[in-house]
Amino acid sequence: MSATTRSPLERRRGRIFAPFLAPALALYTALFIGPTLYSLYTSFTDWDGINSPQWAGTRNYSQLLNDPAFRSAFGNTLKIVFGVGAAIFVLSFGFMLMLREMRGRRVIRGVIFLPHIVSSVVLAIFWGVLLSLDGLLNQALDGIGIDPVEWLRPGWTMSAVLVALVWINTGYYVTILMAGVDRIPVSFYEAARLDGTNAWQRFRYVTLPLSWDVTAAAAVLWTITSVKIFEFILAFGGNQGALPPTYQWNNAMFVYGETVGGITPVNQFGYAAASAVTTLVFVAVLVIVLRRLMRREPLQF
Amino acid sequence: MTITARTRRIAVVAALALATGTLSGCGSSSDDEGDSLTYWSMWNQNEPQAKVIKAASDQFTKDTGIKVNIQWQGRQVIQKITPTLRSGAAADLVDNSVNALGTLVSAGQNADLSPVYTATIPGENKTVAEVIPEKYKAYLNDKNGKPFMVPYSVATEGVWFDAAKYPELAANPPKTWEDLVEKLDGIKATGVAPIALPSNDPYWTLLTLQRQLGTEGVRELAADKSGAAWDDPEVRAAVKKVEHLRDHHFIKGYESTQGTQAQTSWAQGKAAFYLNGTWVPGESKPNVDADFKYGNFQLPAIDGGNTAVGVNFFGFAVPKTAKNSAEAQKFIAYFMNKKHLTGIATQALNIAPRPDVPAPEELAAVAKALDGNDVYADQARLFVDYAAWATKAYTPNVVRFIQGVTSADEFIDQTRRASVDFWKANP
Repeated sequence: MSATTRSPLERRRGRIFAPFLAPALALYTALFIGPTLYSLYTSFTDWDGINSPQWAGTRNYSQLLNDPAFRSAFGNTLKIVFGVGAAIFVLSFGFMLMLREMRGRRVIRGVIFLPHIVSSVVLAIFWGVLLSLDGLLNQALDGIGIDPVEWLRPGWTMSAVLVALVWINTGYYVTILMAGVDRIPVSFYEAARLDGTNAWQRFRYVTLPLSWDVTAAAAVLWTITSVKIFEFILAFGGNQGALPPTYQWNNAMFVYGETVGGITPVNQFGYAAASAVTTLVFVAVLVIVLRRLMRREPLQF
Repeated sequence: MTITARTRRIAVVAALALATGTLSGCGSSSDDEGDSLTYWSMWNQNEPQAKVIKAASDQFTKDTGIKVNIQWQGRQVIQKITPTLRSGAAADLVDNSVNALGTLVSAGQNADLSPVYTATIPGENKTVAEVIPEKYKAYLNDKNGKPFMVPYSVATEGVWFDAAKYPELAANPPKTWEDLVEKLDGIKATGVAPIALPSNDPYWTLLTLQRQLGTEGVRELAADKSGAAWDDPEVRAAVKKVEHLRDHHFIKGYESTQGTQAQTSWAQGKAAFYLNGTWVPGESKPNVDADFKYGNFQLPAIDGGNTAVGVNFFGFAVPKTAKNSAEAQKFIAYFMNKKHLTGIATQALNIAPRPDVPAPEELAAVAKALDGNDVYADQARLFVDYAAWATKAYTPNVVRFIQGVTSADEFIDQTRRASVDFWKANP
């Protein structure tokens, strides 16, 4: 629209736009964009967080590539983003199928949402109590005559973390997806039923296409949230202030471990910033790819 | 409504003021007058140490007129103060373990506390330097040989057991490694698991290596960039000893437990021994029987060698950029008075650094070991001087070894390789 055709109201609206935007923009710049740019700068330096940063060029990045701790942390991050993500979405769709037509669904929704509102640290402690050798799960198994299982045996602990993350997050995504599904007019389902569809077909041809935009938004949300997960891993694997072993780290845990984590923090802020920037680039690329893959014509209904 | 240029300007200025106000608001400190000091403590308000410190600081204010603003920051106090150090520390006085305070020291941000050591303790006619045992002092100095810390409690690690149940161990602790293994076999024969430990325990291996190689030998393992130090047959001998304990004496299922489970099962009598620090009596009291008696011994010497006791300290440090450094140092000297340190022993159940303050009964055996032996820096100071190496090269491999995933030889091989890789990446 050219300026000459704008009505007086629109012109005034245009002018009011800047003062209203400015506070938010200023805050956002000061609290997010500024620190992000500073992290980018820091990633090219050696910095202990106290004394002046020393320029180090790209050394932090080349060091990251050769760091087994970072490589395994990155692998664990991928497991969380894709593995846990896939499990959450499959389960959420399953719940969606079940809950849409079920009585008492509000109660069930509340129950599966519950872990999401409890602190991760509490959940991590509970998870340890549940899975330890004389823990709740094995006591329950004992009740039905099954020998105790070493759930937290070496090599299984990271899997225990992944399963816990599915458990914690599924309720949240069910809630988001169900909000999208609840908007779909009941008449569509009635029509589909008259056409002789089964539950799967109703999901495939009515629910999924009509809640696609919500699903796409939820996928992006998970990608961004999942790379930030760290307090559960710390509380579950750490011991008396010490860090969990590096093979249980993800990228967020790596940043904590290389800066202020542990009993004696190593304060390698430059190195940690390089790993944070790497993670940021990874997430950005992933979100762009995801948005492209999930783009559909918006449906009006 | 019309928006004039003026109102728009006001809006922008207000937005900027809001943004900058939000940023500066969190870092400001109010008290800069001379007659006060700000003290960030590692304790939480309801912990016994906090109560002892609070009582002393109230008395200090009464006696000197200097107000002490205490903030109970919890264990992460050094992490919290780090961002403020450059422009002027937010606190004039902090406390923590020697390991955690090492962060200040390695960044050169600690004040030289020599004046505190030469100061006379208020109410006594001795200096601080005179009441702290000489053998501790080397571990309280920075790289320039200046003291960075004044300890108010001394901690160490050792093997804990119930002296009421095993009186012969209290009277006659194992003197040789063979003797230890024999005693463990004896306990096993009675149907009790000999040793409880958490699944990610790095200490059995580290302390056994210290016994076999000496403190410098352990530090050599961390510092050696070629990996050759790991080929020493003494290393293998030590790791083999731990492997034997692992395969015969560790409590069943330890590799599947998390957190404080090990301490609980030991306190409940499911295992006889538990290797841990001097805070064990304080922490485990609620879980032990009424007639439980805390006994403790150090790992025995190997082949008649090293019997030194690892020593860890909790105490005060002053940041270099503290605004009220003099007042903070005055408070430290004041707290070193026997009257205040006695509270550390009687109320907080810690060992005070002054030999004239009797250790609590639970820690009597530990205090005796500290008195009668040489000391060495706790865990060979690996977690201070080689913290990143310990986290990345040592810990993941020792955890796998302790959990039984790898053998002694595989552990040595993997840690050697991890060390070489680590030093290649961190020259």
